[in-house]
Amino acid sequence: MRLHHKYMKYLLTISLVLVIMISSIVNVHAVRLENAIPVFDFINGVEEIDKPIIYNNRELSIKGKALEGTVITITTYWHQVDKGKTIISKNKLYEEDILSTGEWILQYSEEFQVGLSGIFGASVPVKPGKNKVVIASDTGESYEIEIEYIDNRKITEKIFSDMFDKVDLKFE
Amino acid sequence: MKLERIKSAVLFCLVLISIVLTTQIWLNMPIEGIFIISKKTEETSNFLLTPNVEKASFLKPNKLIINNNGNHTLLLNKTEVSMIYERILEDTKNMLIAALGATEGIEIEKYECDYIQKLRAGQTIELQLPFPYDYKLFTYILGVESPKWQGIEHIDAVLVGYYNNNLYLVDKENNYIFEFKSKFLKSNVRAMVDMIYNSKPYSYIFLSEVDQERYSDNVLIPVNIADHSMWKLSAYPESYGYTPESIAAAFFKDKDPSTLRSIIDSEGNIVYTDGEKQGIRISKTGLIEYVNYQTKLESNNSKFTLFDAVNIATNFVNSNLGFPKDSYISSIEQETVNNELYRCLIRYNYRYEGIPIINDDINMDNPIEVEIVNGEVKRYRRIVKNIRITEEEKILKNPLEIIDILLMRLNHYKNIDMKDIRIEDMYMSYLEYGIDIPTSMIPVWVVEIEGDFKDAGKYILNAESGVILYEPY
Repeated sequence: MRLHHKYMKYLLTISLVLVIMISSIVNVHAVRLENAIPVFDFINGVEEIDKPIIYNNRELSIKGKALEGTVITITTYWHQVDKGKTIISKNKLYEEDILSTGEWILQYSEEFQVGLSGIFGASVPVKPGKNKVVIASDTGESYEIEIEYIDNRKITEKIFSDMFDKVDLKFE
Repeated sequence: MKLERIKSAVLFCLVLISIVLTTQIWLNMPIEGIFIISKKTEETSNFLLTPNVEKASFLKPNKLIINNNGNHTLLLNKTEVSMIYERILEDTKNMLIAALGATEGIEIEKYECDYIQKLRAGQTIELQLPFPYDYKLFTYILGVESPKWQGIEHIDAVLVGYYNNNLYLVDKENNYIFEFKSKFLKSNVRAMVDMIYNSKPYSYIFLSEVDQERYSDNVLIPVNIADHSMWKLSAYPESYGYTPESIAAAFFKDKDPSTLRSIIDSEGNIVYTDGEKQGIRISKTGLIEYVNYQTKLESNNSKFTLFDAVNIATNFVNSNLGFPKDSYISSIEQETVNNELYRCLIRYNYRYEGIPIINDDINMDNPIEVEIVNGEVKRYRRIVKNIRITEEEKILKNPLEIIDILLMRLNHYKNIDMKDIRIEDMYMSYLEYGIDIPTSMIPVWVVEIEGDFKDAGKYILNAESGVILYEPY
């Protein structure tokens, strides 16, 4: 689109204010850590976590404790959201999105056999938005947590690209 | 119309500036030249206490850990990140100098050591020091002339909150963490951490977060390193390529080399002496030993302090063959008579790409040692290697498997009860082996076992195969 200069001034002024406001809000929200990631203890149990954990790291460390010989399966899912639902979750951010909505998509699954150390650990990638982590043992017990990963950088990149991608900044 | 265009251009510039500054301030994306002043890297190898290098340059951590909301990363001083690594150290030192030397404007709070769990769950960098530093020595090395805070005795670790710029000093012996808060405490650590996270570093876990009984809070291991490999190295003694005479000449600077006496002992070592007070021995393996015969081991009531000892030792090494790159003080032993210091053993270590080196001679795993008696250098030993990379890669075993192998050895073969075994520390190193020059260096895991049994101590396991290469006996 070719902009007339009087509209361009309005656009630039509004974008100036918006950039500062939105990135401040996003950053403050993302920095806050609501809950620490628990230790998944299959011997003494884990206190239940009923709300999603706000998280701002693209790698998630899973660690826990179990008896020697226990087989632990760690599985992660990512919640695919509706197109155009919010500016943050709008689908251009996620290249592999398809049309379906509100679906948990399998991301990672791996088995670990616990040795004499009594410890298992893994680092799993998480994607922007809601993620679910299920840690199950071969004895039938399992734990599940939901993580909301807010990638403040991606969000700001998205805001910038949406604002300026289609703008032809040629003066008339 | 022209004025309108100028106005539009100015407005456009303002928008661009706002984007750049917003990126910097809110998102930690540093741009060299704007707030972050680009800095030339100084060549600090070989000399630590030259006039161009401040004393604090040999105050280095054993481990530099980045804690980020429960995720941890061990930052090694590798070539590709050395600028960031050094910058973090420098910023931390500047904060320490500002906090410990300030007379006002600082709030200090005391917590118990358990508080470290909370700090690790937050956003901090953690510098674990190689040994508990005496507070006075620590401030002296930093150049703080009259530290205000006198309640601190030892410093085991330093943490910096990279969002709030709070500074924390950990004194494990007295079970305290001191928090320093001030609006004057500022750093660029947050920007450095952001750069590290852009490079997708390995994730680590503190095993004490899972099991405090069996693992000390030093034990930090990487997870998901199944695809990780390290290069095998080859090593030459630093004396390789030099004649024994030229090495002797470096020690006897004020003597005519033709006046030195030399003998070759039964093991092929060459000994040089001036026939008066000092001598050196150069071994085939690269061990160089200096002895001052005149300095008596008994106390002669000469007054010297720990600061003097560190200065004497460091200056002596600087004048006699110098320090290898990435050297640091790894331990200090003191002996006193009637509460007066009379003997002091200062050890230095160095690292290759951030990984410590273990020499073929396991008993001298600190490759540089200086013994000061009555304020004079009595003995000086060093076994430093020039290291080269080979084309052979070593695929690393999962460290949890390494722990399993070791626990099996202790529990199944040595019948030690699992409840009695505690792992004090665990870290990667390069271990030298071989007789012919060049020798080889392979990646190993060093595991320090604590416990009330004779098999407690340091174990070395091949990081590729898990074979135990060394154990206490």
